[in-house]
Parts: sequence; C-alpha cells; structure tokens
Amino acid sequence: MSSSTIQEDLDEDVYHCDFTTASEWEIFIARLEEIIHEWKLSSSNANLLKPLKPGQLSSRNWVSKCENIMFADFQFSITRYSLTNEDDGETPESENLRDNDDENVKLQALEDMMHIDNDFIPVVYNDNISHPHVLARLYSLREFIVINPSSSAVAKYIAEESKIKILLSSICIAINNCSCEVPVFIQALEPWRNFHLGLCEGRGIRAEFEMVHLKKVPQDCKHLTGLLNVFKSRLGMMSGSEGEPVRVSAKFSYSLTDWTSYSWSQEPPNFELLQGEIGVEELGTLPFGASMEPVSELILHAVWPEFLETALVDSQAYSDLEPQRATNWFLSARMVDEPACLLSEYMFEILELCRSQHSMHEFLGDFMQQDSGPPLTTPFDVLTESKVPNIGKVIGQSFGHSRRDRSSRGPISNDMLMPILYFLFPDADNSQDSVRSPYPETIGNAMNREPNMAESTIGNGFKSAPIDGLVWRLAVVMAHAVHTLGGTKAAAHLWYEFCQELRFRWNNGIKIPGVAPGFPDLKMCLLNQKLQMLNCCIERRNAVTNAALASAKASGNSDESEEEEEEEEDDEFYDCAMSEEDVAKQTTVEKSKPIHSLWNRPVGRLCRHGNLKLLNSDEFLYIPITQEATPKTEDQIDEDAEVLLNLGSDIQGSELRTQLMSASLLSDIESFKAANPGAVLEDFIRWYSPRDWIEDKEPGEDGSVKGTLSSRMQIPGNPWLEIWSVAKPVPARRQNRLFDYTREAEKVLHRLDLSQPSDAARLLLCPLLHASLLRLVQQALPIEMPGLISAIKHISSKAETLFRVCEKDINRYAEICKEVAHAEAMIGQVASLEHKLCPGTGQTWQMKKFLSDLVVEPEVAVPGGPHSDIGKRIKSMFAEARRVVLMTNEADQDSSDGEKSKSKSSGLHGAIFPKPTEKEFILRVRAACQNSFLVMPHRLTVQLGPNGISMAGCFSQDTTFQ
Amino acid sequence: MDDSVLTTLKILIIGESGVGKSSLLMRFVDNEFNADQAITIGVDFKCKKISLNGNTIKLAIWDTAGQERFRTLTPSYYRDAQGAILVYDVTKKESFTKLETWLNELETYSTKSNIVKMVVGNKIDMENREVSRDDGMKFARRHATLFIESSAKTTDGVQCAFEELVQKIIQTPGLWETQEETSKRAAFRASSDDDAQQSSYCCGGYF
Repeated sequence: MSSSTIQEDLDEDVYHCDFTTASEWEIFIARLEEIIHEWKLSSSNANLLKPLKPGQLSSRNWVSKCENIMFADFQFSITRYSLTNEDDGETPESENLRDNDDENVKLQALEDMMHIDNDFIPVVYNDNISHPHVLARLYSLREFIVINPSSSAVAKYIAEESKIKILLSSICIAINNCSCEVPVFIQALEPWRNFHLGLCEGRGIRAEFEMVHLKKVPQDCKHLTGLLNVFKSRLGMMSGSEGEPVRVSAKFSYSLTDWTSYSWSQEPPNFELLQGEIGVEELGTLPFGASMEPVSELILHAVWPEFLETALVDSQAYSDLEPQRATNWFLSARMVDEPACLLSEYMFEILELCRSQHSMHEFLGDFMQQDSGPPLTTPFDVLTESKVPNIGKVIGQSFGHSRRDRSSRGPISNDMLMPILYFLFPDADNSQDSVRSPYPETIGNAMNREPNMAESTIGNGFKSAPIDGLVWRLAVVMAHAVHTLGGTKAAAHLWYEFCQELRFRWNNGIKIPGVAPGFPDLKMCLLNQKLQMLNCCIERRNAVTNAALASAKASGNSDESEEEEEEEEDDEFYDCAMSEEDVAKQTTVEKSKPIHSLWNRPVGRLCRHGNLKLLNSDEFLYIPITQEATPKTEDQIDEDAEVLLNLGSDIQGSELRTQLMSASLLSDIESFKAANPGAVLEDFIRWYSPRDWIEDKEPGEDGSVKGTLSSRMQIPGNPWLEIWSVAKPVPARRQNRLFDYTREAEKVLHRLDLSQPSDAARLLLCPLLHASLLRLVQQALPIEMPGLISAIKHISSKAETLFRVCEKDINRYAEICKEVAHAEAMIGQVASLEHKLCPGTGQTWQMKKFLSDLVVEPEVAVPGGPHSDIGKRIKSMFAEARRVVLMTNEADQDSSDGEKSKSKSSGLHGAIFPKPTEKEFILRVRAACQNSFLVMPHRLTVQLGPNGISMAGCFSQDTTFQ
Repeated sequence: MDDSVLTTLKILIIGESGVGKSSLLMRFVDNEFNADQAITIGVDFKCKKISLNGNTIKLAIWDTAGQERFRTLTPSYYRDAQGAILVYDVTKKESFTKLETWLNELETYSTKSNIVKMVVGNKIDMENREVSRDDGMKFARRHATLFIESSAKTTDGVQCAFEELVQKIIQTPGLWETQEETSKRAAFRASSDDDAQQSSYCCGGYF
C-alpha cells in the first residue's frame, strides 16, 4: 500500500490551504478524521486496559455509535462498537501494564487479540445481525470501528478490489493523522458473508486484518497441521525455525438431533381411553407442556483452551483432539420455533370460540328443540309433597331422564357427559357413598383461606371465580370439550346441558354448588355473579316455601288466630321467615299487654331496641322485621347507575333519584309502623338515624327522655316527613316484594339460555385464563428460571387489567395467550432438557441454573466437564444416536457392498461421536518475522464448517524499520 | 389548555350520618353551604369538571347515606370507584371511631384493589372538637390513606381534599386509564410530577 505518497499529496494540499478542489477522496478522509475526533479516539497516550476476564466480552454490554459518511455519492455508515466498562469497582491502573514491559510496544487491540480468556465467545444472530459483532469474536476485540455500505446506499455492497483498496488506504491515512489506535474495518462483499478487512496502526506497529472465505476446503486446511503451515508461511516463518511455538486454541462442535429414547413430549389427556373412568384429575386440570419435542438440536462444543502446537496432533491420519479428552465442554440447545404446547393450544381454541359466529341452534338443532320443554315443576307441587325430596334422588332422576330422552344424539356421548356433569354438580351423584369430587369447603369463606405459593404469585385481583368452584371447573371442562371432546359442537352441547341443569335446580329449589354463598360478589366474573344471584333466588323462594309449610303445620297443630291462616302463598308479597319462637313471643306479648285493639295489634317485630320506649306511650320501641336487601349483579348495578346518572346532576335529578331510592325507606317505615302502633316519626328516627334525634340535656320531670328532631329533619316537605305521612302500617311479609326472585331467576336463566357459543366462551374466558396462569406458575415455580416468574406476574397483571376494564377485543386476550405460550414453551424446553440431561428429582441449584441457562443462553458450560454426570449422559446420548446410524448403515450395506469401506472408516472415527459439524482453531504467536526483528503478535482464527472454511488473520508488522 | 376530557373518575363519599358528606360535596361542586342540608336517601351524585395541570378531568362524585339501614343498598354503587373520601366529624368522636368499619366496607365492596382513600375530618370550624388533628393523622398513616381536615362551612380544605385525591388517582398506575388514554397519561405525568410534589406539601396531605 502506498500510503506514504498519499500522505505527501495531502500535505501539499494543506499547505496551499485551498480546499476548493479537494477530491471526493480527500473529503472522505477529512470526514473520517472528523468522526474519529468527535468520538475522542485520537488520544495516542491512552492507557492499556486490564485484560478482560473470561466471558466478559459476551457478558458485558456492548454500545455502538453510528454516523453517516459519504464517499462521492456512495453512502456508508460508520459504527463504533465498544464494550462498556462497567467494572466491578476496580480502578483501571494501567500505566504500569505498559511501563513494566518496555521491551515490546503494545497496542490495546493486539493485546486483546492475544488474550485467550475470551476465545470462541458465542454470537447470537438476530435478523442477520450478530450480537456481539462478529469481529469481536474473530479477533477478541473490545473496541473497533466498522465502515459498511449504509442500508440506503444504491449498491448494497462493495465487491471491486480497487474500491476496497481505496477505502483501506483512506483509513490508513485517517488513523495515522489522528493517531487512532482503534482498529477500523470495512465490510466488503455480500453482507451475509460477514467479510471484513481492517487496519490498526500505532506505536510503530501496523496490524492488518485479512480474511479468506473458501467454499471448498483445501485438503491440507482440514486439519490443524495444515493450518499451522498456512499460518507460518503467511508469517514467513520457516517451519522448524526457532522462535516461540504457535499457541493453539481449538473448539470442535458435535450436533445431536436424533433423540431415540431421550425424546420428550406430553400427550393431552385422552378421554376416549379413559372412558367411564374419567377422574377429577383429568377433568379438573388443564394440560400443560410441549406436545412435541421442543428441542430440535443439541450441540456439544469440546474446547481446548490453549496448547502448544507441539503438544497435540491433529492431522488427516491421526487426531489427539478427541472430544472426551477436551478440557471444557459447552452445550447449546436449539429450539423448535413455536413448539406445540398443550395449555396454549387450549387457550387459543377457546379464543377462537369467542370469535365464533355460529349459533347454538346451528350446532345442536333438533337436539335442543326436542328437549326445550323442561319438566315443569310448579312450586305448588313442591308444597304439596310431604317432604322435600332427597336432592341426589331428584338430580339422579333428572340426569337419568335426559339420558333416556336424548339417546346418544348429542355431540358429547353420554358416557362422557355424565362424569362431566357429576364433576360440575357433585351433589347430584348418588351412585357412590361419598361424593367423588366435592367442592372445596373454602369456597364459602375465601377470607379464611391462605393462598398457596402459586396463587399468591398471581394475586387475587382477577375478575374470575373461586378456585376449583363451579365456574372454574366449567371453564376448564369447556376447554377440554373444545379440544378433545368434539370442538365447538361439544362446547355448545356442554353449555346447553349446564343451562338445563341450572333450570332444573331453580325449578326444584336445589341450590347450585361450588359458588360462594351470599350476594353476588362483584369482584368475581359475571357468570359467577349470575349463579350467586340464582342461588339467592332459590334461597328466598325456599325460605318462603318453608315458612308457608311451617305455618301450615302450625295452624294444623294449634288453634291459631285467623291472621296466621290468611298467610297464604302469594308471590306478590314479601314473606319473612318467622320462627315459631317469634310467634310464641308475639303471643305472650299480646297476652301480657292487651292494650292493643284487634285492628291495631303490633306485627312483624324483630326485637326490642334496647330499652327505648315510644315517646307517646309506655310501649317499648321495637325494631321491625324488614325486607332483606336486594341482590344485584354488576350488569344490573350498571343499569341502575346509568338510570341514576341519566337523571342529571341538577336538583330535579336529585329529587327523582331520592324518589327512586325511597322504596326501601318506605318499606322500612311501613314495617316500623306495623311493629310499633302509635309510634311517631321521632320514634322512627331514633332507630333509623339516631344522630338526627337530639336529646335534651336534662330529662323531663317524670324521668322520661325529651328531645327534638335535628333541624335538617324538620325541613318542611323533606322526603322523610312525606314518606312517614303516607306510609301505612304494613309488616314486611305483607308488603310488595322489593326483590322479585322469580323474575330475577328467570332473567338469569334466560340470559344464559340465549348465550351463543361465543358468549359462553367469553363468560368463561377470565376463569380459564386465570386457571391457565395458575397452572403456568405451578409449573414455573420449581424451575427457578430467573425472570420467568416475574414475566408471568407481568402477564397476569396485564390480563387482570383487561378483565377489569371489560376489554371486548379478543385480540388483546390473544396477545396475552401468546405470552403464555412463550412461557409455556420455555418451561417445556427446560423439562425436555432435564429429561435428557439430568433426569430425576431434586435438582441442585446449579443444575437448575444450567438447564434454564441452556434455554436462554447461546452456549453454556457443562458443569464438571466431560467426566461429570451430565457429561456421561451426553456421551450416552451420542452413543445411542451413533448406534442407530450404524444400524441403518449396516442395513444399507446388505444391499450395496460398495459402501462398506466408507462406512467402516466413519465407524472408526470416534466410537461415540460423529464427525464434528464445525471445527474452530485460533492460532497465536508472538514472533519476529519477515524483514523485522521486532517480536510482533499475530493471530489466525479458522472456522471449518459445512459452508466451507473461513480464515481471519491479523498480521502485524513494524512500521519503523520497514 | 386542552378542552377534551382526559378521563372520568368515580369518587365516593362515605362516612357516618350527619358528618357533612353532602355539605362537602355541595361546597365543592356549587360552592354553596346550607346549614340544614337535606338528609341523603340512598345515594345521590354530582358531576364536576376540574382542571389539573392543564388537563380536564370529569368527576362523578357519589354521595351516600350514612345511616346503618342504607348500608345494604349503598355498597352496590362502590363498584369501579377510583377514589373514596371517608368523612368524620371532628366534634363527634364516634364518627371517627366508626371509620374503621367504613374502611372495611370499602375493602369488601370496592372492585378496584388499589382504590385511593382519603380521610377527611370535617367541621373544623366548630369549637367543641373531640378528635385532634394528630389522631386523624395517625389513623391515616396507619391505614395508608391521604388525610386532610376541612370545613364545608368556611370552605377550608374542601377544594384541596378533592384535588389531592384526584392527583393521587392520576398518579396511580393502572387505576384509571383505558388503552387509548395511555399515551395521554404519559404526557400528563411528565408535566405534572413536580407540581404534584409541591401541591401535596402545601395541602398538608399525608400519605
């Protein structure tokens, strides 16, 4: 390269101070220098940094800066790659390093290149861009600059040698002018070749980085011996000449894709096989894991970190480089893209169902109509029956009835359907003495229950259903139905049967199991609320029925007053359960204090309100029995709130709202009046809103309490006064019902009946997603993969928010499912690797880390090396795969004898391991060579793979005595 | 200033009867005070748009009846509220001790786990104080709520109470935004973080 003449030309220009005629080339150099200065790479007295510790080249972060640079009209980008210096608190005392050893001049780049601790660092390719940069691997550099054609350039790459030379000489001039010691590379040829040529200069040394790619490997380059010759001849060293021997590092890679008996996969539960014997285990659990082998390839890297060329032999005839005898073993695992995983398949299928446009009728057709008239059991029938029938008997009959009617025309066969229904409604199963799959008792009082590890990881913010409750089970079973029992049809059938069962239970007054008692829990999903609502309705009606039965019984036994007999069943009225004690108490009261006339007798008393007495009489103040509150599900509350909101926020709206809200106040006042004949508003207020009754400081003369209503209660025409004035004394049980249980129950049943398959799937989506996340956590916890649990937490909090805001867009849920699938795949990969490499229970922390690293890291050191348990396991896997290959070869040989010799030779080559898929060598030497007498560092990195051979060399020379 | 509404927030006012819940609301929304405020039956609500750091926020404030008997009715309306103001009367010790019950009520019925709570000691214009400011503060600290004292009569602390609460809600991630509002929120936070600190200090809010 004639850089010296160029230098002079440039100098002339500088002296003239006239840049108007500067060539494109000069402009390019000027820009290059400008960038180098900008990046502050021109300091020639930079201290020598400490050598990197093993692996730091790949474990530390890389940063890159990028600028554009033009050569004529060709745009290049120039990028500086450097390893961050996030040191562990150590000060880079580096001056010493250089001073100690004055004998040899040292360049940072060349020192890094000669250091062996970061050989063969793994490189990850992502969209053809490697990380870290492939040059870091080829020369173990921690800082370098790359100039490559910018992505917007007209030509995508430079191929002409002349252009390459111009670029290299420009670089040479620029780095000399700036005293930049950082190596600068240009990328030539097609980008996929990763072909780089470069230059590094300073302190009297020039190092040139060269590269050779050959598709067909020359025979003598296939082994170390030949490569040593190539290296030495390039250096001008005669083989056998004195000087330092070449130091060699080697890495051989062996691929394993044939798993034979080490293959791993999981099957979805097969209900066909389990027919009739389906247990809770299968029905109540979502399947998990990869259904196909998720690991596609294991690559073993046998590494010899450094040995002298004389120590080991690797030639065509003989090789010391046997993998079993390597110093270190590393392992890489390649994964199948998007492996088939059971849990996520289930989820995606349910999402698909959510999008379905089909109607129930399309799937079930005649089957539905045939059965559309459920057996009508009127409440009257229940009443006249002497005894409430045994629950199990009734349900058993119901199921039996349906079985007879439907024969096997439903998409799910009866053999399958019955266990499912018994699983959902375990109380119906009276075929066995003990209930097979009872609901956990904790459903009623989730508060008292300590969440387990997995549950607390996910948190309880899900708008879901009680864990292992009815809705939860239904969701899981629905997923099974979609996946294994016949797809959407089966789902439609299951939903239909579920609705039928609910109607049956309502008609027969049998409570629904597996939901928490009490009012609809607004923290739960809508379906769970609806079922709780239905239970409230069933409960209220049963209470009414029982009260009626009890009173009928009572009237039969004793001579009761006419009033009790009037208590006939009428849906229009609210009925309170009144125990016999109440009745008795009431009668004693009546007997002892016959002050009330027949028309004015107190009714519906609950208990005395302390020792308070009515203001205008000597009677005690009684708290009345009042109507119970009205249960509501969230959609109803929303409707109500909407109505209230629509009244507007002005005074009129406020008044209308007050009227709407007054129904319960009126009911309470009427009950109060009935229980306390002769009471005044003041009495009512003392019970109802005691702070609005202001007692006088001093009691009246007769010791009675005197007081007044608060001023706000005395505002003329206020709703309290008005309601009091219109209210009649009516006990709660004779009032209009505030809660029409029949209507509400019908509303719930109707809503569920009318659900199309997609509605049903949406109703079950949250519990199902909750269940699958829980399953995911349960599987993830024992693996202890760093970051996995927090990733799952992140997924679940995202899911939680979606359900909270009632997101309608199914795609948003699909995103969540994709993340679930990703996590599931990782767990599947770990499981598969564990099965292959270290089966058994009770993995040590080190082992767990090894397995999870294998999934996420490109290359992991095998703990203990070739002689460890894992090492032995790997050997036997290779051996088994080898046996299979040999066996098939033998089979081939029978037909063609010609192949015999060839297969024999391959059989000889290592009893266990196949031929390496890739061989890498790094040859290093510090030697004086060619014309120089200075000892200079040189390096050659060789990669021998299926795509040929690639050699990257760095050869340095002395510029002072050239 | 941006006229479009950033978000609509639902805020509850709860507490014993007669502590001045409706009066606080009346003062905040209409800037009026009526010594004889009609007794709320069930629930009522008022709306107000407020401007916070250049953003308009619509508040739907639900006022509830404090009477024991209405407690079966009112919690239905707790649903999806982002904030709750728990009011007590500084001249009535009992209304303060009952706050515990109201907190439990909120815990049970609110559907958002991270609902922002503010304890407000009302009627500080009155002379016969029974609950000291310190007691109120301690209670708020123990239950990790915001705290302020106010008087609906003299307007002291009323505006601040609501603003403080809204500010906190806006700062609570995941409590109020919907998807399309996420980007708006990022912009909002960037502009308001410093001011938030300040106003929190000057209002004597405690968290």
